[in-house]
Amino acid sequence: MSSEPEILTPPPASRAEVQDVVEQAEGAYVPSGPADWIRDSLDQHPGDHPASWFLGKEFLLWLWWKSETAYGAIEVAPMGAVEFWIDDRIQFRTEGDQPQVSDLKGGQPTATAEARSALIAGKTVETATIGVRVGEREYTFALKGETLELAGLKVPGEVKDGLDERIYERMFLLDEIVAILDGLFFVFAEERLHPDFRDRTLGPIREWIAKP
Amino acid sequence: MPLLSGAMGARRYRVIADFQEVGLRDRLLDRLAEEAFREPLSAARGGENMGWVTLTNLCDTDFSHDKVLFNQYMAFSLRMDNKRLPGKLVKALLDLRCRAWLAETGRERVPGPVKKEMLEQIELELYPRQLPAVAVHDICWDLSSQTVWFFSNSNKANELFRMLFSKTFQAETWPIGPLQLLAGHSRSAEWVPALDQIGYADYRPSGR
Repeated sequence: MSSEPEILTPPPASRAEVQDVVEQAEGAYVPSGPADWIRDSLDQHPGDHPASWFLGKEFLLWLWWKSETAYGAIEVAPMGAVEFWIDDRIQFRTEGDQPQVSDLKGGQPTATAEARSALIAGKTVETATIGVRVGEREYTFALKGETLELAGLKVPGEVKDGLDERIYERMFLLDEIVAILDGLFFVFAEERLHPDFRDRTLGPIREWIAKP
Repeated sequence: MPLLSGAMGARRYRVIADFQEVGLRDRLLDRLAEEAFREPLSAARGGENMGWVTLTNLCDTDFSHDKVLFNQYMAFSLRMDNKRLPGKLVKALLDLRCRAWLAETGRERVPGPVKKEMLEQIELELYPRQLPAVAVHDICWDLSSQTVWFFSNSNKANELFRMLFSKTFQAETWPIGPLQLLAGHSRSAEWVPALDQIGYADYRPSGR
């Protein structure tokens, strides 16, 4: 693992914020061990760690990249091959006190020049509508990068009657899509936290963004 | 009711509590009943009022096993009422009464305390005729994994839910986000220290 923090960009608005992030990334937050970290982090203020404001957003960008370069399918244990794609909406924003928000809706927004320009300009992906297919089941939902919170989740439910049955089916489907998302996030984490992240992932993503 | 039909928007939390297993389900139902939604004592009052109701009927607070417990799931709803008066109507009525008072007394201005009393009187007259705005958010608590889903993306609703959940069950709810997922993974010993070494990567093609 490289001891140097990666370059921070796009920079937050204030110098204080940048300094704060750099200082923490350099090791101000030093847990005494995973168990302590878990106790520390699973509290009511997850935003305390600097990675909390970018990790989920980078995950959305990674999903987009993978959906276009890995034939949109990844093995996620124990579900097997999972297909995914960015659906009909994606939101970008710049960091800072007066952020600029780009909201691209309809059709295939990721195929537009605006979407590519946003990445070239260093905008972060805030929210994206994502489609996922596993076996015969297809889901669509909006995923908020910072918290990985689901919104507008449409599940392929079939049960119409019976309170118990509807709860079991809907919770099964919710658990399934969340397990898939968690699985994808762990694949991302594996790459993101790998010592060779720059060469193995960052470089190819930059090349993908640069492609016309 | 997103738990039963339609699109879902939800946040998930880990429930942190030291529950004794024996008789747990009955105790949870009792606690639910203690913080059940109740109509305010006076209809002539405004403001927010909230409490638990059953999943299928926002007026039902009879928390029997068959309405709440579904195998490992405990499903119920949070009802949040908010009774407010239309500001423009209150202002218009107050203005009319001020005019009438001025005409009756021959004075030039309505003193503050008199105006305040008029306002209270208007509220007393209007609140009993006003119905609250009613919001209901579903909850599904997986007792086997101690994960609870709150079916709303509203920050305010989530805050109120966590507050009432904590009060009701003496249990904390911790949001599950990206970092919590990593911390809970079997490879957390490797990943968590690595998190401290990274910053937001520069993905721009021109980046360093």
